[in-house]
Amino acid sequence: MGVLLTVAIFLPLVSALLVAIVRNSTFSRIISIATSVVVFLIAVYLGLNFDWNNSSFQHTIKLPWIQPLGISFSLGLDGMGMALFLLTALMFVVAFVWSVKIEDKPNLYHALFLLLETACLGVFSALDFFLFYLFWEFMLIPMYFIIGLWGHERKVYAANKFFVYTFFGSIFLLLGIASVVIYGYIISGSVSFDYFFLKNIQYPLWIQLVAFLLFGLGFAVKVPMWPFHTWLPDAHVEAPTAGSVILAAVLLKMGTYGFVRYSLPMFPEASKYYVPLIFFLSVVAVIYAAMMAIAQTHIKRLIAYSSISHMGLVTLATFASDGNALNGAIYMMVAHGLSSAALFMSAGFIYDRIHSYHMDDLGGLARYIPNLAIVFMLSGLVGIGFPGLAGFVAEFLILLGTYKNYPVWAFVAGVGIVLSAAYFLYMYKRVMLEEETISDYRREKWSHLKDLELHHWIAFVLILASSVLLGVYPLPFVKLMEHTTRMVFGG
Amino acid sequence: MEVLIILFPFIAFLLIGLFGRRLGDLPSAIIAVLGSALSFLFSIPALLKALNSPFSVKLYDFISLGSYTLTLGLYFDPLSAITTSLVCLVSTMIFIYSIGYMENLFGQWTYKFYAYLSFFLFSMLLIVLSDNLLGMFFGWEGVGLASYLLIGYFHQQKYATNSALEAFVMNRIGDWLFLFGIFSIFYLFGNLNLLDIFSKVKEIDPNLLGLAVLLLFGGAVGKSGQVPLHTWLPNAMAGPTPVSALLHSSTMVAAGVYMVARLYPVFESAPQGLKVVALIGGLTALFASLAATSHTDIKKIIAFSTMSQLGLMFLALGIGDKNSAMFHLTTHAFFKALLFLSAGSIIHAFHHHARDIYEVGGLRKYMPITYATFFVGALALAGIFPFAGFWSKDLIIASSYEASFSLGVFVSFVSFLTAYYIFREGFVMFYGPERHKGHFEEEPHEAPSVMLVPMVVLAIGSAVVGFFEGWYMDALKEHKEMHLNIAISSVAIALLGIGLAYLVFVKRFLDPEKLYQSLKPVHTTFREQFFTERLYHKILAGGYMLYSKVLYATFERQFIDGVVNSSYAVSSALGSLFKGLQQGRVNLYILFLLVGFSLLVLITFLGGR
Amino acid sequence: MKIVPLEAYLILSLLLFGLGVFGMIVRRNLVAVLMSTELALNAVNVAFVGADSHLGLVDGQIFALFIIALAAVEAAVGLGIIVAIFRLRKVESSDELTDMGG
Repeated sequence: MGVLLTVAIFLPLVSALLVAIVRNSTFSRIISIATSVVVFLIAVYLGLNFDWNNSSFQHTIKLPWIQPLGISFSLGLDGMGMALFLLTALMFVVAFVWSVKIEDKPNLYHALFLLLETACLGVFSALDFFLFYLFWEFMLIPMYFIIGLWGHERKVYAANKFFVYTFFGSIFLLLGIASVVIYGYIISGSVSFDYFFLKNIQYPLWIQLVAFLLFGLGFAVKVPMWPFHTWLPDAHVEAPTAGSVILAAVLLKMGTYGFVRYSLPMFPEASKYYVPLIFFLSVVAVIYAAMMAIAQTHIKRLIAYSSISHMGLVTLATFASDGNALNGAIYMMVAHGLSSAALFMSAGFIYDRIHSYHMDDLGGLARYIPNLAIVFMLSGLVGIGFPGLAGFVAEFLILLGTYKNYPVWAFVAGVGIVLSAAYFLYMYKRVMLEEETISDYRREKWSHLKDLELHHWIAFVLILASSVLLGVYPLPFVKLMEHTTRMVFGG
Repeated sequence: MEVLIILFPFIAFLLIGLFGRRLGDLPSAIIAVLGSALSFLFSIPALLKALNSPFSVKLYDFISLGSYTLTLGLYFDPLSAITTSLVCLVSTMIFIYSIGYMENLFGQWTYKFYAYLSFFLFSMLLIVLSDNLLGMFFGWEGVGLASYLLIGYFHQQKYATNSALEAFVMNRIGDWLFLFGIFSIFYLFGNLNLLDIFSKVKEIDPNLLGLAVLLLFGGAVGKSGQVPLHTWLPNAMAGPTPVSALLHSSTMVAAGVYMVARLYPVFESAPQGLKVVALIGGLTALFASLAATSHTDIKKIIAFSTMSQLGLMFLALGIGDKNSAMFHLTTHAFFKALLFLSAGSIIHAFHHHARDIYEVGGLRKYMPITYATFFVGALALAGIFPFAGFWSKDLIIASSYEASFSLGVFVSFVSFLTAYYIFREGFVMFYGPERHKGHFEEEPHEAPSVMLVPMVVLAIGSAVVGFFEGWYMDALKEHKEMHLNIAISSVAIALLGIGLAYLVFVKRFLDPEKLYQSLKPVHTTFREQFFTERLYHKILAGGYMLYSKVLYATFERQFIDGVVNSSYAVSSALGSLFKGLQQGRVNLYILFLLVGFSLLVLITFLGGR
Repeated sequence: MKIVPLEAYLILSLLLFGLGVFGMIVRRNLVAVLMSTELALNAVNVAFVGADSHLGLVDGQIFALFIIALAAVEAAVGLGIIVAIFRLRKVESSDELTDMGG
């Protein structure tokens, strides 16, 4: 099974090379979609063969790599890893399906996305610190080019900001990794980058406090946590639609993944110690970002701020010392990935048709593109936590779990459900409704607008069906999250 | 088998939603009616079964919370079963009515309307029938969404979309509180299943329970439009009249009352909580009835009436009389829906242009059946024997007097106002000069039968349901006595109110216009809902928006991003500084070479020493 | 045979070297820079030879021969570059050759 996992991770890399060589753009589109579908099917297969009663990492593979430094090629999945692996695989299928009509440098575009897919899948499966860091950093490069080459007006500024800011955070991550490896060497005499080895060491408190901050800063920039969040709105605003989809659905999850996979199990005392700080930043993120969202007139910037707000809930729940909360945090990673992807796709569709993201240029669109109106509303409902959809299960678990030990924090964070409804519906109103306010000129121009096409429908249905499934029958999925939670708290 | 009761409307929703465009508007409407009617039919055997012995129907395991697995299911006992049948019956009537009301919009994708209505019914039934708090919450938010979609149905208009937004966000505030109430219950009882909760309620600390109850009640306040989460309800009248009739009078807003009644064992064990319920209910009852006396919008008067009657129901719940509250909810569903449908008939007659009661007049000549149904509803609302409202209101007044004399007087005063304002509306619209001649071109005519039949059915209900009081109380295992003195005095007070309205608006004993002018500040305060609406819109909502925008422009852009961008500026500046060293002139490089080399030599010499 | 004291050679060498380096830094004309380089190199030669005459070794002189050869090569290449620059840009002053500057 471990071999299958490796194949799934590196298949996109191979396809990227293929695509880079080939001239024919149709061929490259087919290759990419085919690759992503194959990867997704493998992911589903791995998921179905996942034994969530067995509290250990599954589908593992470990090969010696750079032995003198104790670095091995070690991969494996636990519940959270499996969930995020599935999410990533699905999101890339969606991204490729959405991008079938890209005209500008399609081969390079698809090659970059395929490389990105390998990097992302690798981050969620790596069980060796070196390998993890490798994938983590590697993911920046394709994303940089995707934003910088296919983006909008300020693409270069946004790409630079994204790269430098995230890279800056990663340096602290590297320092953190170095510190734990060195400590591991000091107490055991051998250098090892193995996850299990380093996780099981009992670090003294002062090391935990420092290392937590180092790791934490690296992850915090990625999440993004307030106040290290300002790269995200610019990155999203300038990125092409598929880029935003992957950025929101996959890349953001890496930060929160890092907290759950590394910070929480390795530095338990430090995690407790920093709770006031983390809670403060998280709740500020939830409320502040919601306020920023409602102040926006640029659709994508609004959705970006809503992502920051949701991630605030995730960081809150991760450190709430409760099993339900942690389950909810992981569930939210998936649910938010789905909802923000769908929202960005809706925004992207509007841009493709009308060439503007600004609400002043829009309004009353529901009449002209009714199918999008429905899909857009559904996507938003997932995001604001409407019951029956994935977002609600996540928010329910998060707030319920956090309420147990930290009732007041949870209650304050809970106001997010009111604020998110406010900003989403307010945006929806200004963009899709109130047709009586638009000018005749626009009425004329928009009467010829084409609604959703087949590839759009496929992309949306994939996401929305998953959201409904996760919202109506969460039991097996929560069991998947529970697998990780058990290991973090009980194990 | 009983699952079908909630499934029929859901299937109707799916069918209409997916295929409505192809099926057409009228077939979609018929599917909706069928869905609702079938639910009603199936609810009867379930009701009969539940009267004998309550039973549960398990659906499926939804989620595991630690060691507790939450299973979704339905619970049929007299309370839920009777309410289910009531909701289905009223829904069916209103669905049928809306075929006539929305007829002029057929051909403009009106199938969506029926999809939303069916979805609403499904969610409402989830609230009523769920055997656990999570299922109830599902329905709770579902009706909120349906309300948003239906209030904002005429989404081309800004007023409608704003009202819909207000409704949803205010509801959400209630939902936020409700959700945390559910969490509190979960941690107190380890369980979200109603029956398990009821069995353990005696063992829980009343103070903690009080907090949970307050939070839960917060949800009811939002859903039922009680003060302070009330401003959305009058604005919800922006939606088509069938929506006002169904959601915002008989069913959805009643969900708050239902929830308190359903969870009554919990509320009873936290007496402080019940006091709050009574307080807010009473406050809203008075507040809304005062507002109703000062408004002139046809539907808003009735909307405030709803708010007020719900307040009375909460008052009844708060003073310990759950069954009176629920019986009043039942009768109220009939006559309030009836009043709205009658109002809708008038609006429809003027092709949806009529809005204000002073735009019409003397309609009894043109629309006799509407006239009759309106006044049946009004009489029921005012609580005149033998109409339904008399029986249910009498119970509440009796309980109020039992609780305290002043409370009884208070409720009687509200009843007086109620009778006054509803008959004010009736007299202005159906008697007096034919003002519509100056406003509209259309000659008013009676509504088509597809609208009249439901109205008549509901009128019959409003007249007759009261006599079922005994049966109702038996079903809920309680015995109520009729107090003759209270009965007579309540009817007398209502007649006083009617009389006042008659004198002012028909006989013109006191000139309404002059009266209005002299009492202007009082009127205005009542009409502006003691300025709560302005407060909420301009100061709370407007302030939040403004603050967000300012915060974004200053703190976010200048400060936080400023720090980030300044890092670029700093590194740029540093770079420029060092850039000065690279002149490009060979000579300088040679100098640097020399200097560097000398330094190295120096260091080596010094180091060697 | 010690007519000329060692110090004389070294002082001469130092002075010549100083002049050469000073010229390299200060002169603008590229040919002058090259000439100064030659001067500095030859100053080193003087030092080597002088040391040799006092120590009675031949190593310094061999090294001096190397330096002469290298200096010749370097002068050839340097002059070639200067001529190429002159042909291209018509300048011979280092002031105007700042393309590689920031």
